[in-house]
Amino acid sequence: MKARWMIDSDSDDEQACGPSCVSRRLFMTASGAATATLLLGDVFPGKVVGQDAGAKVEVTKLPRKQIAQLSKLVDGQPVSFNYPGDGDLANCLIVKTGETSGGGVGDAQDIVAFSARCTHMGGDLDGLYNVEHKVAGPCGEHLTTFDLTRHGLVVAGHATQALPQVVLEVEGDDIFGTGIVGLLYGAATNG
Amino acid sequence: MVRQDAPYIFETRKFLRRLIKYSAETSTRTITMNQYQPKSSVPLPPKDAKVVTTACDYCIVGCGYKAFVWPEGTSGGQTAEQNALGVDFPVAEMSGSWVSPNELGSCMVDGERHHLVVLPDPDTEVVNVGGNHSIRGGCLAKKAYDPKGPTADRLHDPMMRVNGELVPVSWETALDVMAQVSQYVIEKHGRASWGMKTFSYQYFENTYAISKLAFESIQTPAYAPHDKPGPGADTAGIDDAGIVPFSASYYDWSQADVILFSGTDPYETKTVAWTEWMMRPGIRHIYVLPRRTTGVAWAEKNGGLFLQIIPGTDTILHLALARLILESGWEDSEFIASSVANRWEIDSGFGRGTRNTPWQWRTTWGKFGASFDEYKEWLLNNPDAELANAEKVTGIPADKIRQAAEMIAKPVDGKHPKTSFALEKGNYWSNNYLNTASYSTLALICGAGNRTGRVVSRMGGHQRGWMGAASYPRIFSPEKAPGRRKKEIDLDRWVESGNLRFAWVIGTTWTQAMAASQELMSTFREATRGNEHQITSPDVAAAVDVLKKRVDSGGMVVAHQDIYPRAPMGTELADIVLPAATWGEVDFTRCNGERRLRLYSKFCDAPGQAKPDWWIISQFAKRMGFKDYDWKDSNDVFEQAARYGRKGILNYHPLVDYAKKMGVTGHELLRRLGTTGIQTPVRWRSELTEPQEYRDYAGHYDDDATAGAIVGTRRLHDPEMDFGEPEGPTVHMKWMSAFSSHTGKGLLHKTPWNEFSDYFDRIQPKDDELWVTMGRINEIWQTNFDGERTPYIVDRWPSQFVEIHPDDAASRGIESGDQVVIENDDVLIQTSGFVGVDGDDQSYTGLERAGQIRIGKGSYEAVAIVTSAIRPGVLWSNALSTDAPPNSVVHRVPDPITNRYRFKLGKGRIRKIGESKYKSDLTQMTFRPRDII
Repeated sequence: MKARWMIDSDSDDEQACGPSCVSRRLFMTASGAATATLLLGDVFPGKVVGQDAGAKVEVTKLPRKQIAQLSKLVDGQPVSFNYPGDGDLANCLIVKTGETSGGGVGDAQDIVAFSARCTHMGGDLDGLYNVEHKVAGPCGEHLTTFDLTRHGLVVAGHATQALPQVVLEVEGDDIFGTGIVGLLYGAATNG
Repeated sequence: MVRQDAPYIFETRKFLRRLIKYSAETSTRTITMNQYQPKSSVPLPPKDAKVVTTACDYCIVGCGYKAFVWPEGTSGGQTAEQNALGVDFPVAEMSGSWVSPNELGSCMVDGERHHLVVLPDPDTEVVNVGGNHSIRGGCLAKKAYDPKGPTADRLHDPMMRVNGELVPVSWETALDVMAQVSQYVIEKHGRASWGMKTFSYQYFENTYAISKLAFESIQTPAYAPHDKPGPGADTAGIDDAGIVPFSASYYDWSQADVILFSGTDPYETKTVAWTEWMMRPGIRHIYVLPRRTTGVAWAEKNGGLFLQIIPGTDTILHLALARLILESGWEDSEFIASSVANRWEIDSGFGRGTRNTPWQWRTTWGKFGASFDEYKEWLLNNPDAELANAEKVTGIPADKIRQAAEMIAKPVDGKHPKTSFALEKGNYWSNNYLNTASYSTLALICGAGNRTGRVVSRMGGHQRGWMGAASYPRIFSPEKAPGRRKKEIDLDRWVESGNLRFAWVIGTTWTQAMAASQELMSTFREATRGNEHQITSPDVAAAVDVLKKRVDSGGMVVAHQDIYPRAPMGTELADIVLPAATWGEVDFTRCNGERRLRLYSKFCDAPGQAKPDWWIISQFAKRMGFKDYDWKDSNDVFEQAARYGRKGILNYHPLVDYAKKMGVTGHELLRRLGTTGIQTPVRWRSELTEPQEYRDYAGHYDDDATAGAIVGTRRLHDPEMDFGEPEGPTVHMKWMSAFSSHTGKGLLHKTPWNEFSDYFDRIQPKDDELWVTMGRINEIWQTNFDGERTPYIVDRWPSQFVEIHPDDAASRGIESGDQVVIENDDVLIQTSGFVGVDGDDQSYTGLERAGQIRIGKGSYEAVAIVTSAIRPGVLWSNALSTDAPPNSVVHRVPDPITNRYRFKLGKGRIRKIGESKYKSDLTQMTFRPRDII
């Protein structure tokens, strides 16, 4: 069933709705999501060391969406994109970190993508990427930082979960998002 | 008996699979700790969920929270009309109403499993305004007892060690054995052989019961709080100045131009006080720390300063800053003239008393206490205070010290900057008296201490939950300084010297929290498990009989009361283990770091037979024949305790009095005050004259049908505050509108470096040794007792760690992620020296001369993090990792002036012993620096 906030991005009911309308437009994701618990190694193939081979992870599988191109990614220069929808809280970043990263794709397994909304209180991490340390943040609100080579784990700060990580697939030069691991800030459900 | 070798190397706990053998006779509880599994959704509390207010169980800041409880298998909807939060999902940025997966847990209500959401109160207007929170508080829901979750190993039943194994027994059996052995110990070996080591903070109701038992009924001097070897002030040099260490409100910090932080980065451990009230444009921060943290990095980016100090040298820095200020004439002369005591004032008011209490002799004895003129003359003629010397001793470049002096004191356009002074354990746990006394003196000459924006306070560690029923019986303490100067006990030394025969340990691991931890464990092990007299039958008489033999043979009986099985005290050393109920399981009360009193409401069941600490104390006390322990519930204790706190800064007696007039309980009135609560001391007024803004911040309650109203107190010491006439139950203490000294003015103290330098010279790292210092980390509360049962926190910190500078690491072949061991074979331990007769008997030189120092060993394992954030020559670890305690390499020789340990001044050699799995595992732990801004 489609949640009330998952309204289509082209529906134009801003005039008609009340104060809560804005919050319903935060993600404007596509419908058709499903949740599955999968082996970490299947979600992020080839990027998991031996001792974690059996670890499981809950994934929100979402419709495949093209989000970036391999040939256009430059080391240490994150690119913004929206995922899964186009709402205010749907902004994400994809970055080629330059070192093997948990869940990384590409030849060097160093391309990762995450929600750019701080999981403390939703601060916008867009443009806040530390090239030297491969860290997102510090969040402008309360300075939380996240290690993008280690599945978005909090480095220092207040967020009570890692940054939600976008599951990536590569096909030719195209990079697709196919799902999310971790609950997006602001949402009660990813799908 | 031959001393058993301490197990010098702790095996780092393997968190992923945690097997806990609970007892021999009950079924073995096996808990599998998986890695954190990110969630895709959370159930929302439905409209009819039960909602109560509470405050965080953890750090001093005590953010306001709401707990939502509802039956498992149901969920509210995503619209405001369909959920108890009254908001539409998804919520907007900074809404405060997002339920993160770690804010969701499970708990038991009337035996049925329920969903639990513990959410920072999005509506609160004080402390954590709008639902701000730390990672610690944000994971509170995971603390709740869930028989199917990682907290399933909560203690359920009283247990007694029979034939070496802890087996469940009835409350009657456990308490009968304890009481009968206690009576015997007190009668045969004296009250000082019966001791308690307890938390000082875990709610008024419990600490009132503890202090009533220890200090009023038994009157034992053998008592120590969880964080120090004996009772008394933490920061004597602040108290001696006439400054209550928790005098400021969080609002007051927000009004400063400059804040000098000594030995703390509140970002890490007092998070919301910092992010909400201090991290503000226009406030420049100065940090004095050996380690660059997030707060430091923020300060440097925002016009502040970082003084990266060599551990233990703060006094010299304070003296140099004070000297630069006085040489430049930047002191606040107007304030000094009006608010700092002169010689006549220092000497007046004592009559012909003996001046033997600690603050009296320190303040009036010419060695420390001084008028401004005396202090200035001493300082300007003191070569220790010269800038060049300070640069050499502290390791801080002279120009930075000069910049700091300018920033905190140099008038701008003829006006003194509003400078506030914040301190914590890096300051007073490295050189207790001299650091705190020199710090308060520096603050007073800058005009700080009693005005908004110009305050002096501790930032605090745990919350303020001590409500004493009686004073510590110092008269019975075995310790004294030369002269008739009685001191509080050093309980660890009392154990070390074989004088303690019965120890009741409540809510602390004791050994890992105190200095020379492994040596202390060995001492306990020898006196308990190493003794030939062990219980072989659960029969009360038989158990009492054998334990009597143990204490008569020089051994010790240990009872451990806690919420989890805690090694080694509760799992290995204790003869009796008692299960306590805690936060969320009983209505409790206490104050935060700005004296804000709240009700911590019950919302779930305690596990098994677990009981609140006050109940356990009362059942024991009745068996001992003590009177007036007939409390029927938690509120009963709260209301009785109110009468004993009337002269204290946590006085809430007028609230209880007002509640009675309203016809409700004290707890009920406090419940109505919600997460705002009320700042103590509470005052009753026939008519409120405080402005609305003051009332809203400090908390107030005005019942239409009851005469007058109650109101809180926002700030102490401020002479501008007009409290009106004291009315009804209101008590106006001098320190509410003046300093807390005998003069009502601030007192300056000289701090001669040679009171400390003999010890400091002795403990300098030699050859390839490094300083080992320690502190807290944002993500971990205290000993991580809940965090190690929270998979998300375990993923972040699966192991003890040690930060090492790249230069120190390179020369030892250490990289981030390597498993290392830190060893010290030169741990100094004071063995005796309870009574000082001549002048320097209790100085380090005097103790060594008298053969009262022995040398022990200690070590701990950690995962290395190589970072330039730490000063070269210094190692830094998490202070309270219980399976790898860095206190093992810390000397157990307290400051002779105050009996406080120098926890921050350990030392050791570090070497690589392998690679941890976290070096290559990308799912747990991170080695990125914490000072990225």
